[in-house]
Amino acid sequence: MNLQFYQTKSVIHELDPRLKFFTLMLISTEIFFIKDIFTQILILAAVFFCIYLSKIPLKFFLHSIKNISSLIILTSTLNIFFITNGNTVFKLFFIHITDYAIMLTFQMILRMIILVSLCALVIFSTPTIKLTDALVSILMPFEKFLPINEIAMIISIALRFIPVLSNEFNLIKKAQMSRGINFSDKNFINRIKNYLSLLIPIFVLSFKRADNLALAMDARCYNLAAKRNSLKKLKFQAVDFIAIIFLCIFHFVIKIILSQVQ
Amino acid sequence: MIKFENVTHIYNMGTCYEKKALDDITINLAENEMIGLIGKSGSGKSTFIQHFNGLLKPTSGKISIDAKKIGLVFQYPEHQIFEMTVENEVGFAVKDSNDKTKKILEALNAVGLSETYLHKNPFELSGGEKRKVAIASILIMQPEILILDEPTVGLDAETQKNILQYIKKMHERLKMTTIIISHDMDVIAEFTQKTIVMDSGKIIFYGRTSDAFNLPNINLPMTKKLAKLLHTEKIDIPSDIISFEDTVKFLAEKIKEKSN
Repeated sequence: MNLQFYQTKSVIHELDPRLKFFTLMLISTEIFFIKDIFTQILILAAVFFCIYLSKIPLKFFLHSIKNISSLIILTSTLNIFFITNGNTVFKLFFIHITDYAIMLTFQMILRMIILVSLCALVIFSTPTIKLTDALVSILMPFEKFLPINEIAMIISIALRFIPVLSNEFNLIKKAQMSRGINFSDKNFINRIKNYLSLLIPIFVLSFKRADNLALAMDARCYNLAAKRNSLKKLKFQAVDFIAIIFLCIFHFVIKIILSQVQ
Repeated sequence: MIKFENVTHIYNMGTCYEKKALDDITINLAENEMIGLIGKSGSGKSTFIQHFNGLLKPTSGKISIDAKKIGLVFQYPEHQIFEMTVENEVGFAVKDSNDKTKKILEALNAVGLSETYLHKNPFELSGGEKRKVAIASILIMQPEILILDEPTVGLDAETQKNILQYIKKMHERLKMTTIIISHDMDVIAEFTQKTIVMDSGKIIFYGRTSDAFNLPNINLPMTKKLAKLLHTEKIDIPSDIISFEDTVKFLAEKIKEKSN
């Protein structure tokens, strides 16, 4: 999966990363409590409206959803066959499918799509530096118990080096394949041995890189104990307040709908 | 026979990250020669060479290669080292047999490493020696076509020359088709007979190396720069003389002529 920041100018890109983070948390918790299908569709529509506002091509999101399609298929099959409550709509030997199972499966698919598109939207529309800043500022109240600076540093370094590592992995795999190393050997022991030829170089390179990175940080006087501040302070803008108002209105609407249903 | 017919390669076809890396390449490569492959970063050189041994398959087009074993040496091949002794590292891709050690020694000798290296730990060797071990671990397959992606990148000048000299020697001995990617025009001028020039996924030139340097917007090797300067002093060096040695010979003769 290639999750990267997509550079463009849009309302969603301008939003405060903390707000995006908070909304992501809020909605992704909510969708597991909301059992009304109409409300779920409404949320999905809202997410897609945000995607439209973000000016990021829709195919990026479809690609992300495609990436988890096998997970969706697996869980839906399990759901459909193993939930036995409700009225039977279809029966064949030991298989019987109920309307309740179909309903639940459909809802679960909806939830997954909402979750993935929303996550993708936050990641595509926020640079990793801002994401880490947001995380730090959300965790700030726990400064006394948590090593926040360290966490922030670790997360930003990890995010930064995922594409590098994956590139390296592919390259070394190709290099070893060129030497005739077979990564799909039928003999299990051989296959494990062959995978060692991939893991050892990756580890060696990673340690070397970590070493260099530490030196480079040292050379720029990086000090963990120092109190850090950032060049661009996160600050709520007008657009954020408008977004908050919209978020509240949206939730108000959902609440009304849910109370009607009950 | 090394033949590419209308070969196109598109990365991540059908996704949002689609990128055309090779664009309708048709080429019929000469065999048993040292061939240089030059072009800017991102011009498709690496994609091109990975089609030789099937690491990448063309999106469309046809490739016919009349060779069973194609050795591909990637950039920084020492990154792929993982065994604890040079012997095991070089011999990893070869089946156990009676003459395995002999084969390993041959491959090591071809890059100028002696028997004493057999039981050393490859991780403790110098950068140049590591590179040589990695190249030897490809040579042991006895490839009929050898492709080297910037074999000397990141090495000191002495080792660079040394490695290239060994590659040349091996080429002269075994006459295998050898393709060298390099950004160093001196290397191209010195070691290759033919050159492929790539630009944004297309092959814009394939022919004699001396002719390649007549192309517009191409970096020149030292010898060509010298020829250009001498031209303003009214001394003309024929355009097919591009190697350092030949240039020196030509100039020496000129000087002798004059003094006589």
